[in-house]
Amino acid sequence: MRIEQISIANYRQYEEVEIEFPPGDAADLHLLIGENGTGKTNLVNAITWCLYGDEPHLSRASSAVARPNTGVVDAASDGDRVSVRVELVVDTGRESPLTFRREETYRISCGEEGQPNLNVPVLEGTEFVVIRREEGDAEFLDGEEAEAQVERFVPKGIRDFFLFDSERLDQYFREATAQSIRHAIFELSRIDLLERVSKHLDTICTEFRRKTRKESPQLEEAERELEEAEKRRKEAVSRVGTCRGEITTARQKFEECRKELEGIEHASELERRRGEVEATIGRKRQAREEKAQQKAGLLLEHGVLAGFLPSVERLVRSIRDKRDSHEIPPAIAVSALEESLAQAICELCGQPLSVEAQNRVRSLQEQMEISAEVSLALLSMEGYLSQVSERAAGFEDDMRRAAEDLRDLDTDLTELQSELAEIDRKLVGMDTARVRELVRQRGKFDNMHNDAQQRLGQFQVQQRLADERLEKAKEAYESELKRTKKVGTLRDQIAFCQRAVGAVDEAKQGLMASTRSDIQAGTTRIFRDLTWKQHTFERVWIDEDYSLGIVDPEGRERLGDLSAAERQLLALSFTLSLHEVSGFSSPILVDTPVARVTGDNRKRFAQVLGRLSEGKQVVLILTPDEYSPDVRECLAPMAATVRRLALDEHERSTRLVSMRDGN
Amino acid sequence: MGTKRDRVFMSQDDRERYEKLKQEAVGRGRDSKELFLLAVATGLRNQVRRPLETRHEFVRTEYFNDRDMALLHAAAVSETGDLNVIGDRSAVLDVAEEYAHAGIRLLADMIDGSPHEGFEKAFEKELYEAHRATNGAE
Repeated sequence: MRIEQISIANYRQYEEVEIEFPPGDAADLHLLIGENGTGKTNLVNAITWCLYGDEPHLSRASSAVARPNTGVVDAASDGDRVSVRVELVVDTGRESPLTFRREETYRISCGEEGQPNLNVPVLEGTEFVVIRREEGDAEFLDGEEAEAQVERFVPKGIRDFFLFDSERLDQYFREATAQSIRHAIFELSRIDLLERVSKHLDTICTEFRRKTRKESPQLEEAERELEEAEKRRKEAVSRVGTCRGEITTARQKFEECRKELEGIEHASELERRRGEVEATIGRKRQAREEKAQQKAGLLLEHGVLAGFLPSVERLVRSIRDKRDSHEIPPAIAVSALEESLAQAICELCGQPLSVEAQNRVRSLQEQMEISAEVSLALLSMEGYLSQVSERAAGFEDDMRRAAEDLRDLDTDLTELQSELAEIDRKLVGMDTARVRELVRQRGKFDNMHNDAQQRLGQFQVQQRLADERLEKAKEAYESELKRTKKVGTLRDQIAFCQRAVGAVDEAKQGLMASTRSDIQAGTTRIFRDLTWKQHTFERVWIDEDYSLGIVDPEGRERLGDLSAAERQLLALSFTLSLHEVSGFSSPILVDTPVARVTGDNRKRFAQVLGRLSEGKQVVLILTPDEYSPDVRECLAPMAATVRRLALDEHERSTRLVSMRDGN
Repeated sequence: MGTKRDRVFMSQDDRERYEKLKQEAVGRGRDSKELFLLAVATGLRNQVRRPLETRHEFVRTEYFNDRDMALLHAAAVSETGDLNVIGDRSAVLDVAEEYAHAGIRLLADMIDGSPHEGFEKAFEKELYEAHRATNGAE
């Protein structure tokens, strides 16, 4: 199946646009290029709205705005009607084309006079039809018949595998849980029909069982107990399933964190060492500062000593000389001489002094040049002054020691700075905040995993108890049924229903297993065919729990090692395998297919998509940045159409500009 | 003994020079007494003294301990040749003030004249030279 044409009227940025998709000769590839805001994603939304009535890719900004084109709404008058319409013309390959058309009608309610921007579109009605044209006649299908046609084109349950963007491809296996893979396989296997049959048989069985209640009180009690036990078991199974899913998710996310951290060379260890080095640098810097201050203090001290040294040495010599000559301390107190002369009486013996004696005292006085106070002062400072020379002599040693200490500290600091730089070099390019976040998340997921494991244990015990209770209840009910002769017919009917449910369940499991196996094989084959690392990956596996993994030739699990491009390739391979197994040959439409892939991988991925278009219709919606020369070189030659989405001069409406078709 | 003077004086324009010295590592965190003694020592080492043009209160003499006074006495005795000058505090402090007035100028000039090398290095170099000159003379 392929889309021949999309017609859009008054849907969001699209006032009136018609996009045709004529098939190419070698490939059915169509490129639409548009800047952000030109309506790329809303083109995908237009298709999903047309087919399913919803817009799952709507941005937060757009979701606040009503669907009708704002330019058309603002230009309308009060009471005017605006029709929002999207039509898809699909070539089914067998019959005549099908047209899927969804239309909403709005009545415009104007704001107050002078406030045209307050025109409000009020929804009046919506219609979804599928038009089948045959031999000039048009058949209009609506309601369930129309929905059935949609399900034949792209089933809603697996539409994410036909209409998607690169973010989904990138995220699929980050967030993939066993549930989401199981869901895809479930939808694909159309097991919903078998599920409905099984549920219906169950309901019938339950009704038959309830009828037996009125036959005897024992039967009633046994049946009620059986019903209760079934309910409890169902709840227990559900809890175990949910818990297993949580364990798988937590384990996957834990592994992702662990691998990412490992991949950046023991970042947490580097961070720890970095902290230690920084702390040591801090201490060394402080020590250096203190040492530098000590040295400055020594300079001050020696600066003083050097200046006073000659004076001090002279004074010390004088003091020694005076001591040697017994001038200090004075043998006779000068005051005694002065007093003796004043009184003309000897202070020592008390005898009057003759003139001759007085002259001798005067002569003695003249010889004693230094006063007693000064003598005492000189003697008291002699000790300290004598040490000044010795202290001053130590200048060069003091300076040498201080310089050595500073040099040692500088050497230590240089080495530590080098180590810090080396750590930073290893950490550069790593987002250290990301590292811390990864470490935090790793711990969180580890706790979640452990917590869920504990709960799983409890739930499994509860399930076992529920199983036992159910078995007992079944046995008790069967036993009562056998004993009660009146319920022979009902007993046969119940037995038949149970056998039928068993058969359907068996068929369901078998189909799921078969589908799972086919998808696993298909994903492996397609991935190995498309990958640019031919010898790195061996196979993809999907186990019975629907966990997905990929192993190398040595059997080692490598899902967490995949690059963004490889992850997207795996998601794409899984998608294409689903296409093959489902039998749906519906087109693929990808919004920004290489936005999350960088470098050479962009071109490789574009080549993959290009090759894909040789077998089915592929529509790629790219930004100009994605449509780089490399990508253009790869895709343009094989593209059937290349168009540009552009906003009009008022920036309220998107139009289509044809670039060189096929180029 | 002589008149009991309770402070030493400095010239008005020396205030800025002492402030400049306080910005250097050698002077950082040091009190005025220590810087005064360094200035005296520098004047002595260069044998330059200079009368004060103006007299502004600087350091109280009670902050000088016995060792500080011993040094100042040595300078005064060396200058006057008279041991008895020790008994004249005012005379001792006058000598110190004039050597300090000359010394702080020399220190300030060294600070201004060492933008690249830095005052500390230049001062250290000068002390090395003085030290070697003293040891060589011995």
